Amino acid sequence: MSDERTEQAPRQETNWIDRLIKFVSQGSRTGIMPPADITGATLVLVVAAMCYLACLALGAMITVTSSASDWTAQLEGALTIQVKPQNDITLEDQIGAALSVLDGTTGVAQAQALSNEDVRALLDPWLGESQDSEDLPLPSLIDVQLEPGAIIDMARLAERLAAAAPGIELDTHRQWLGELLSAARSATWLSIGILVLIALTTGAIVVFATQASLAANHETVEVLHLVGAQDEFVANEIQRHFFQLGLRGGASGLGAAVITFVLISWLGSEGGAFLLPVPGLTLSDYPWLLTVPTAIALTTTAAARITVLRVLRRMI
Amino acid sequence: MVRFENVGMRYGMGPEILRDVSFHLEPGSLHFLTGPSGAGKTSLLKLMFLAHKPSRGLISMFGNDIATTPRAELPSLRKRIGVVFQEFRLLEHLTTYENVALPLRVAGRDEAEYRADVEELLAWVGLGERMQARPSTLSGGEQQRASIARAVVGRPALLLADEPTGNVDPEMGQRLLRLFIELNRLGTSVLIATHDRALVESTAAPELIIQNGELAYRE
Repeated sequence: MSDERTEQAPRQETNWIDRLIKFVSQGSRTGIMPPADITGATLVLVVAAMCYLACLALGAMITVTSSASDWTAQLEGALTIQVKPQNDITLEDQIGAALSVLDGTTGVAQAQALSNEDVRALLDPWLGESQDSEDLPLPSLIDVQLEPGAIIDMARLAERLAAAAPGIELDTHRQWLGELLSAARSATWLSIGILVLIALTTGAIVVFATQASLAANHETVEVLHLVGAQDEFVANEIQRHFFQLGLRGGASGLGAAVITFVLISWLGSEGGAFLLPVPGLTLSDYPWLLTVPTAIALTTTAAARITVLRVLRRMI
Repeated sequence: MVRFENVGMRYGMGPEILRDVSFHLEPGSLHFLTGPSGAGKTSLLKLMFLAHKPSRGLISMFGNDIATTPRAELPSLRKRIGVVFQEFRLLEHLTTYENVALPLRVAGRDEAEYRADVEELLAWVGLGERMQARPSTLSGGEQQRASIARAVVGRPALLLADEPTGNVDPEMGQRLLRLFIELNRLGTSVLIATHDRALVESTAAPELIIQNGELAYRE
């Protein structure tokens, strides 16, 4: 036996990096807590489900936010002029009158009348590619691109266009865009609400799971306590155990969510799977999903630590 | 080293298990604690290894009054006490080696520093070939020896053993007693709770006799 006394104090960690290295490196040693039990397996499953739902909510929020941003960027720099056929004037004259008004308007970069084929193509996603649309009395459309940052009095422009020829209407997309952005904002807040709810639920589940695990491993905790382990030591062992469970569950949930998003992107790009085009997540969006298992693993760790310290303080 | 003065103990609102217990263990002493089953031997040991607080009286361990010692300082006192539990209390998911090395690991020592010592001790108690075995695969006697090895591995200042030879044959019992005597010779105070009269009579150590929760002393 060694002649040294064992009561020497544990080495002092000099800073948080040392603490982190110690925390991670000890993960490779045999854990003092049992590696897996029924509580642990259930917790991994629950954390995986929570992480999956949270990833879906976050992914939906990212998709909606980036789509709303794209729509805003696309529509804020564009106008559409609808030219409805009239009996007392030819379509060509109506279009010519509208183009000449636009020509004299400051801030208009380009104005171009769409061909009948282009107009019908716009209806294809809604009516299909059948030839029936050829018989429909479709208006002509003029696509107007604005100069970046152009400030145009839309009401005045609408008046001038209406005065130039009958049947000309200005569509600024503002009302549609406003409703769309309002819906996008609601969806974003809903996603945030779901994320908060999931975080709170996960925290509550982990607290219960930790208490159950502590009850199941009461013998281990008590023996550690009686051989002189500080509360901090026991708490570190247990939080490491729960951090690993949290990471395993989080990684499983993340994997399932990534597969789901890839499938959504693939089905969305195939077309026809959804009523509206679904852009899905871009490659640069995926790293954001990593925040979910990280946050869940940290929530799990914090909940376990707080619970175990509370239990230990009840012991002498 | 250990001083009890008029100590009483009860579990919850139950009757007093220990009454007016007073004694003093000097550093480097060896004592036996005897008495019939249910007399309060294990309860007295629980007070000594700081698993319970007394309901009255004074307990002083290593010069610290337990009633006034801050809770955060109790682990450093526990590290100076080795305990052999009657029911062994080995951790099922750890190997015999890991169980025995547990106090050293808890004390923050590097495995490279203590591995050879733990292996030597395990060989000494006859578990050299069973180091990687889980407690559930050990016999009662082997578990008891592992429990004793865990209690003494950190060279405690005070060793408390609750029926340490209850599950081993007389020859191994004498061998374990020699281990306790050797530790005592090196400065560890030892208190052995036992029913084994042969063990008590094989040394000239004084005896603390507990009966109906009250303590008597016999040289």
